[in-house]
Amino acid sequence: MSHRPCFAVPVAPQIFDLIGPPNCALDLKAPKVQNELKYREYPCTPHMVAFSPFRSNVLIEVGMTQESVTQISTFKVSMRSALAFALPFFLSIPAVADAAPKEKTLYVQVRESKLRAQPQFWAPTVQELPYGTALTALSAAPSNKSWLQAKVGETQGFVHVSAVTSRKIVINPSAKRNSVQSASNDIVLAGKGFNKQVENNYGSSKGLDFAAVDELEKAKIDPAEEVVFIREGDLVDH
Amino acid sequence: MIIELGGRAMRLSVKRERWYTFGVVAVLACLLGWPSLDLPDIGRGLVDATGVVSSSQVDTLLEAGGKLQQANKSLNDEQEYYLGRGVSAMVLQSYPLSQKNPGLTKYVSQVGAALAAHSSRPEIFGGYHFGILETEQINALSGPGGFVFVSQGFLEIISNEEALAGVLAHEIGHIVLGHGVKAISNARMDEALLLIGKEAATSYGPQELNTVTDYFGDSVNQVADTLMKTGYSRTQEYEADAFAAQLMAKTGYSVKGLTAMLDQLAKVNSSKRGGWMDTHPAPMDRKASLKLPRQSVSEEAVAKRSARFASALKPKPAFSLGGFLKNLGASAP
Repeated sequence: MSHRPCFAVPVAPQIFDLIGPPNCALDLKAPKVQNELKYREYPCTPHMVAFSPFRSNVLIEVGMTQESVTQISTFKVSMRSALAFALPFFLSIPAVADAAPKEKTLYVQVRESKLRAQPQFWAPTVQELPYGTALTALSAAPSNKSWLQAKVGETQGFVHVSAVTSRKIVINPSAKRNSVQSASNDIVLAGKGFNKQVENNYGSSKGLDFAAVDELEKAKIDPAEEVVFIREGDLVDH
Repeated sequence: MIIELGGRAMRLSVKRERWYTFGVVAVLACLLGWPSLDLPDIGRGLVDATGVVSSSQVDTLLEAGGKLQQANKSLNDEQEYYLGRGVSAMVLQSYPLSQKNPGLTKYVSQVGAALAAHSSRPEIFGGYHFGILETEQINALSGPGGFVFVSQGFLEIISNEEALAGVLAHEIGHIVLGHGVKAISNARMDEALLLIGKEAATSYGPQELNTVTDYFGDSVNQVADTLMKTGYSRTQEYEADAFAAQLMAKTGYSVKGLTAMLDQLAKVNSSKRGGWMDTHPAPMDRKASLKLPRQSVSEEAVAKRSARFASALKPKPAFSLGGFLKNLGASAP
């Protein structure tokens, strides 16, 4: 695994802070001793680098034997250089993070949603998003943080945060019982729990008619008509 | 300055440098804004600056958007939807849907949809649906899952679109704030979720089906009883009022419509019973607790909306062939 270089700043005996871009690693002056160093490999984010002296995090664990400490005596760190590096680095945190954004897969948790052309509820539809559709969150909409810029395949658009979940939705789960799936909080099995089968059973046993509810649900708002309604009434359409 | 690591001298040097580093980093932190960096992650600051999101930031956004539902995190959107259908079926068993004026139903739905789009939960499993109940009782109800009802009697006492928006925004508030699901007793919900959680299958055997149906029925009954008989707690009603004022302002409605609606309710309070009169706090108590957001809404816009409210209330004459021919004859030379 290749890393971008960074500097190590000692904060306690055998403990060092890394200062550098995300996913950085030690830039050893003496490559020969590299194998003797033991340190935790995890993403070196600007946040934790900056304030790790005040935390209990151990960024680098040098070998615990005296020998290994001696061995790394050839490793030199320029404190001045480290701080000189750190200052512009702090000032450019957004740019650094922008260069390495993390993407996240989300799933549509409503029966039908839309990928929209703008971060507005009544904006034109770019693509229909049925229940369970996986999409990749790219960024938050600058104008409204309740909207995410996302993509499905190569198609990009905006989706409201209320339409998606980070829990994977399995649309056609097997009827076979699967205790692993069932136990996971990261998975939603569509149709599980209160469902149409339960509703039908309840309706027939209690004589409760759902026809009126079905009729209520049939009525749909036409988005184009709604936009006219909103504008004619001088309401806010975004 | 070079630090050489190794031996006793190195350790002393490291100790001095540690304090030096501590000091320099502390000064840097103060200069560059400690509070903005001292977050669980760097999310909030970065989202503002660049729009880039990480996994944890998306989670924060989802939570802010209301998707980690306050009511019960284990009841997902789909289950809430079916619960709402059950509650709605109970409501419609007591009060049928009004079929007198389809145009009025469409108008009420358009007002409701304009409001819901500005809520923190515009997307709900089956979408929002608005219906008019055929009763003279002054009432408005909302079940979980996006089902909103307002009675014919209520529409007759309110005077304009702003007041209607106040009623609908209050009901949308109950949905977004999860009040309906919270009406289910915790013990019963825990039992139901435990049973549901045990099974990965979505198709139940006869015995399991009956057990889940019992839980479903109990949940539906508890929510329906709360809506139609006992009412939500005073705190929840005040929360829904506060939510309504904010939602109206975001949508562009005058929040004075909400207080005007409460004034109108107070006038009829002593003469009519049932519905909101029995399940809600006294209108003047609600008005006193309401903090209205500052806003500027033109009187012209309010008048325009009032005109279309009045127009929507008038039933459109049904087409009559006889009348059409009569009119045709009268207009002929």
